[in-house]
Amino acid sequence: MNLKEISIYMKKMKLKVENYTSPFLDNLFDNIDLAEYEKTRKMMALAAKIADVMEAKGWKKIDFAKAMNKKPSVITRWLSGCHNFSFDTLVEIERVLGIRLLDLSTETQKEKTAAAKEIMIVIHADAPVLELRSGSTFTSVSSGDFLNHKSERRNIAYA
Amino acid sequence: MKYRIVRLSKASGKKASFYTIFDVLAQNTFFERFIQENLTLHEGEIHEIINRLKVISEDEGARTYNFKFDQGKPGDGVCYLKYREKGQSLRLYCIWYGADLIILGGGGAKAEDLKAFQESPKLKQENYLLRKISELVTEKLRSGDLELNHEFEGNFNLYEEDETES
Repeated sequence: MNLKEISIYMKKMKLKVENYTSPFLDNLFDNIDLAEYEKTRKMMALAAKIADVMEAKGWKKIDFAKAMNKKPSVITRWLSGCHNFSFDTLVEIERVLGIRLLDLSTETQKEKTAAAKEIMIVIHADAPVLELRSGSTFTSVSSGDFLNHKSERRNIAYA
Repeated sequence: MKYRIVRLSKASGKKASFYTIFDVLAQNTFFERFIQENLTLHEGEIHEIINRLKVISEDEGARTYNFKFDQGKPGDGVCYLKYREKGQSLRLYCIWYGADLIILGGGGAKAEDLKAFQESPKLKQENYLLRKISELVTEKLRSGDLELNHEFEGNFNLYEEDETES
């Protein structure tokens, strides 16, 4: 092959791209603030979820805008991954799209766990009388009666 | 004009690859030059851009809503990255080839009182340069000199018509 043919051959060769890096860029990407990164990630993930559901429903921006009673330009802002949604807006989007954006399951489970925990009552020896609240009234009972009543048994700590 | 397409290994991830243009004569890349030119006065925004690029490359891919299009000629893919809803002063020009491949170019700050980027000599220069890059890449894709299949493959050199490769 002559030089021209070699040049044409080299041009047609399928070469893998050069992976470029530099200390300057390495330093920037290696020192990302994790808290800020997580915030950005969640903002973009939220927008992406809304966009994916729109696509699954076959909705264009104008359809979603109509359903939300907003201008299409507002939807563009929402989908950019830069928007800071209000709580009210997220609740409304959940309703219109039929999806969950506010995941409260962890808190609900915690609440259930907290409710299932036995109540700790501290009985002071110098205060043998307990007041039990039942509805809007209080009943005074002796601590002894309280402890003996099975339906009212609780974990007791003595101070 | 002698350029080469290179892949930014630190910016790229499992969902998208970011490429940029290596200026053979200046021995620098368009993206690195953009960062160096704007890091001092816009440090916070530069870090926001870096975060956003990593989320795109690692988690979400390059969705069209993350970019502002129609910054070049019709259909050439020239756009800029959105990273703030309000108070975004930097424009990082890019060429969008799909959810998994973007070429990052240069850019600069756009003053609030400017109505069009052409009013800024810097933005105009960077934008028009990337339009030219887009033309050259499109030509190479058409001729088969370069192929696009989730990543670029082929001949990554970009030269003007009257220049020869050395």
